[in-house]
Amino acid sequence: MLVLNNVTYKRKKNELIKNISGEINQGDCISLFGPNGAGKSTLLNLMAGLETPSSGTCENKSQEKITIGYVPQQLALFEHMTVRDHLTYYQKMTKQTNQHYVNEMIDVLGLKDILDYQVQTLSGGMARKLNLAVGLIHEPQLILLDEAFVGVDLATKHDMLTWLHQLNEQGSTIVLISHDWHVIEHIAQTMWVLDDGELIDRFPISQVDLKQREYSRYAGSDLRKMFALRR
Amino acid sequence: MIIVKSMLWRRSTLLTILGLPLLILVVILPFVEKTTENTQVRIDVVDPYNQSYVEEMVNRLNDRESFSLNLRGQLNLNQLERGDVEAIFVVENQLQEKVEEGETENLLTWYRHEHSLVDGLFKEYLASTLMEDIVRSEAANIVTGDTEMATWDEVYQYGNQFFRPEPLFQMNFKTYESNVNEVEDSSNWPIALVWAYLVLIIVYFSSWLYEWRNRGVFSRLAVFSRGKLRLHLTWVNVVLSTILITLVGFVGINEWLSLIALDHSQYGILALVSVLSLIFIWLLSFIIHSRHVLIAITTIYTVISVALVLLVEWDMLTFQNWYLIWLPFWLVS
Ligand SMILES: Nc1ncnc2c1ncn2[C@@H]1O[C@H](COP(=O)(O)OP(=O)(O)O)[C@@H](O)[C@H]1O
Ligand SMILES: [Mg+2]
Repeated sequence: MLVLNNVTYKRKKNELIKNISGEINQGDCISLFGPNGAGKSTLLNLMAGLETPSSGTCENKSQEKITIGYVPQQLALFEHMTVRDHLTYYQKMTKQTNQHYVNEMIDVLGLKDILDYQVQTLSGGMARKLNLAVGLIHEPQLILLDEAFVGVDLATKHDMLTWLHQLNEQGSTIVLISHDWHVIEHIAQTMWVLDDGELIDRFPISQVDLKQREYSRYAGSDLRKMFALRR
Repeated sequence: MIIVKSMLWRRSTLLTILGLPLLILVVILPFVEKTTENTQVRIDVVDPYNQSYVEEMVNRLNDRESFSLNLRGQLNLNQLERGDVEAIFVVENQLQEKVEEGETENLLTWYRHEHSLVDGLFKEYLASTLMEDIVRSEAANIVTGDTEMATWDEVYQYGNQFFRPEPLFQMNFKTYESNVNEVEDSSNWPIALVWAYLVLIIVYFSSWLYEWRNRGVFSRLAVFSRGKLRLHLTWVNVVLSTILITLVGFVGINEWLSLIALDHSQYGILALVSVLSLIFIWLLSFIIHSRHVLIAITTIYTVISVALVLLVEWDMLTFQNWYLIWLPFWLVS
């Protein structure tokens, strides 16, 4: 559904993304992987259309416009607003009329009990759930998650992964950024490895054992350390 | 509506919007009281004939604290025009003789300005002082037989005339209308402070734009059609409403306490300038990515413009057309 063609992105003469090509198909679940500063967030923003490539194209190859759900790295929430207020605001904004979907999401993510909590009183995990829910409220075809699982406890992670898995099964496409092997192995089908703005590797999750051994020979690199942390 | 609630909910919002004007009022009010204390009603009495009776009368009247009387030899209507005095009373020649003969008409000519307010009070007081003399001398005249009064009845009737409900005391009355265009009332520079306060409100609210940007709220909204624009418009609406409510409040208080002399068009210009400031600061927030830089720039601009207004006000600078890039000059000039 989305085709990247030699995408390069520069900012202040720095090439943050270098000549990346790739294809995202409907139903995919891709994990962008790489050390800090590799350009993962930038690539995700390019996919979301928040930035435009300096050269190359990032095109939607499907017939109709695809709806995108973007969950930023920060907790992009309004202070002094309750969980319910957030859901209502975004539901109105996106003209989401499928109340059944919204209710189910509230149910699976366990937001029911905290609907009247103000955002600043939420624990880290609860806030992450809301951050995710807000980005998914309009049943997006393409879900883009930038480190959506930072600082969540295992139970919260379970709820979030369950919901994402369910959406993916139903045909939604997911691109996520995560450092968390739990998350990656639980949901991703494909891994894209980025380093220094380049897409250096791309493989199905089934090859991750093989790749772990391969990267363990990358002495000194951050990627070796990151793969080493996988059990 | 949800966003509005979340913006106004913050305690500091209410404190800033409500607390500051209160603080300013508390600071300003003593000044206002002081100036009203100082404003004794200034009145000139003009006696071209240098009569000692008039001098004596002025001394008597001057005991009144609320009036400040000046005895002059010449009529100078410019003083009325400048608002230096509230009214001028010109006395006739041989005032004492006329009073002693019991004459009550045309002893004085009263000049007043269309803006004169409380001089009427003085007129009453002056009249009663003169009447006292008139009645006393009439009584003396009768008792000493200076007046040819035949019967008790005639004397009684004569005395009665002073208690008739008609004007006891008549004088020529002239309203002075200046042909000169009203001299620029330049004491309205504090309006620049009102503007500065509104700028402060706008800058305060701009913190939300930066918060939303830093928290990724705008990025999140950008994937929805016109999502970003909508939040921006909500923000503009909230700030605009706050400004307008504040302005209405200010107009109300100002009309009530007459703190700053302003006419309706100046209120309009204040509203216009405030809305312009809002638009400028909003546009600036797109260019300037650090909230602190925005605060610094607007503060410097505000301080410089208020300082310039004051310097021009105190005649330390002469106004030049390019000063109009400083918005408060639209208000005071
Ligand atoms: N606003 C910016 N201006 C300049 N450089 C930036 C900006 N944002 C990020 N970068 C740089 O771009 C590179 C990639 O950033 P990012 O995509 O956030 O990496 P990641 O998400 O993989 O950690 C980093 O080197 C970072 O320093
Ligand atoms: Mg990142």
